[in-house]
Amino acid sequence: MSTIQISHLTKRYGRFAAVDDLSLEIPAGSVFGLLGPNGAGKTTTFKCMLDLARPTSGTVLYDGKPLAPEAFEKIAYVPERSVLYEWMTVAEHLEMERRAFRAFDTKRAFELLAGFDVDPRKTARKLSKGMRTAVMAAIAFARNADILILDEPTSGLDPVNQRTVLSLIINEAAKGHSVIFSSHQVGQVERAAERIAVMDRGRMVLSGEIDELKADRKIVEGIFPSESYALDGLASDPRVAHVECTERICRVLVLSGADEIGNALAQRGAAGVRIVDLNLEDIFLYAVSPKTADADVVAGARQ
Amino acid sequence: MNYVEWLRVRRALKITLICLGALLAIGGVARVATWSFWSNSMLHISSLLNDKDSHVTHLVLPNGSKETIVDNPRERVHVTIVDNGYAGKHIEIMDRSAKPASGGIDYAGATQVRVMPVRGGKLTVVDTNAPTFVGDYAVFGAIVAMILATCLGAPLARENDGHLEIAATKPRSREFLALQALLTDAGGIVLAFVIGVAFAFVLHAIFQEPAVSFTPGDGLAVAIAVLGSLAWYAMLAAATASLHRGYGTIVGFAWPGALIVVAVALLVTPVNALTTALHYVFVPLSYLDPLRYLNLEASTNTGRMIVSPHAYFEPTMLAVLTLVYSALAILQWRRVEA
Repeated sequence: MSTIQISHLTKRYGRFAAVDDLSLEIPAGSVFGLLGPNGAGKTTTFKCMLDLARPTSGTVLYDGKPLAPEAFEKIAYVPERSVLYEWMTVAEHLEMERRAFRAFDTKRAFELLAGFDVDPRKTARKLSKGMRTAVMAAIAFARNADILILDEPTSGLDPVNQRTVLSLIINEAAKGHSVIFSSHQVGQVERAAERIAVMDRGRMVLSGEIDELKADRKIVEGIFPSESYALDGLASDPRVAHVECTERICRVLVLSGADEIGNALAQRGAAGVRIVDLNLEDIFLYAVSPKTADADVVAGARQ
Repeated sequence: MNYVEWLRVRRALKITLICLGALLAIGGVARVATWSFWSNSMLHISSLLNDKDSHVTHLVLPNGSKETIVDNPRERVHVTIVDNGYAGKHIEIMDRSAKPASGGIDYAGATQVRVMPVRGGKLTVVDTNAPTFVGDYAVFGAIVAMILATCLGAPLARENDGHLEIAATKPRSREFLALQALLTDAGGIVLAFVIGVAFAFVLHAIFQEPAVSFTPGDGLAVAIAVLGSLAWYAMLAAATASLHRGYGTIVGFAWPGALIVVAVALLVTPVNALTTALHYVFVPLSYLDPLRYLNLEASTNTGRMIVSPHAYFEPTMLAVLTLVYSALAILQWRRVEA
């Protein structure tokens, strides 16, 4: 079991910061979801964690130690794109893993491939995108690794196999292994992860346990009798993350204390106040694109 | 052993064996098609045989060989041909009409021609199945090994091209992984050399009984052939180790590029400003080019039995280039990012 500590990690390509001062701690035996829009820096973070890219500054520690080559015996990685050798058969890929890693369970790998309906005799170039993802996932889950770093492990998979991969992730956590995975599908992260971090343009904009984030974060919506109302400094309240007002409706994203903020809106003349629960997708959208999130929440409320 | 690299080597060797097998089959067909020429042809003295002044005697020697003696008093030529069948022919031509010639020995494959001055003319002795030096077979071995070295060139760049996430996340240091890949390929190149030598031997044996000879000069030729292929491979690996793509172009242009460097360095003499500039650029550059040292004949010019100390320069330089280029390849690859 390993704790991963990422401290002030920065990776620049010229003047562009792909990862900008990222600090994270991933506890042992947990499932950690890394969310973010395209280009947020998730893949670069994984590469820096695995020494596939050298950080410009900052450190990544595994159980307090920097990554050493021997540590890869206990770390399994599924990259976001297929890295299989096109000319090699799936069975040859398994043989390659068996030779490289002492704990690799070939029998389990074949079982997983059968579950994904992948023919091990096929060369990688004859596999579809989803099948390639399945092969890489099968290899990772057969490694008996303490840490699994999975970059969009369900990309290209059909819904049934997506569900299988999520179950495998949860099973790994049940065994005490740490899983860090990224996905564009927030629902999947919500289903499998206990903790998340949201990245946007290289920076971490949100992190925490999903249950806590959902319990604390609410939208407080106030409907005023006319368009002339004043919030009187409500936006600067530390519990308020975002305020969006349109005509007579004012929506406030609160990080905690939704009831108090609701009362404050009522005191400022709101005729009706309601508190809307957020799902993880709403929280994610508010973190990376508040305007989109507002529109989404309004649409959801109208339904 | 690096498993992926071994699979690459195995695949390349398989294709090599198929191509050489096809060439051997063609050789077999050619042997059958030219059966009469190889078994009892007298083409080389046909004009003498047909001369009305020639006296021809045919004998069968106790060992089964056929002996033909041609005596032509008008031409003052006496020829003795001993046809040993698969073991080749021994021909002695005493030509008293010729001007006295200086002695000499020449080889054309397995055919050895010795010219000796004798009183009143010259004696030419031709052995169609003279000892074949392993150094001659090494030429074929070098060709096959160089082709394989070119095919396997850029082993580390191939990993950079979309597979670094697999290659570099193994529980071994990058240096170890790179060295493992280079050594696996080196083993394949040596194997290709052996296959090339075996191919030359079998091809020879299809036509006549090989009389193989190994001398110190052949040892040197083998060393140059093997080290030359390895140095060529290492140079390609070093030139491409940090590339993610486009390495095929470098490997493809390496042959003409390296040949031009050697050709300009050796052929251009500094007689004017341009040629002097070329000389001073290309001569130092050529010392880094393995092709400059791939001189298999030079090592065997000393009569093969005695190797001059100067002959060790080529294999030594090739060994140095192999090590330096390999080290450069490894040093570059350890810095490559995915």
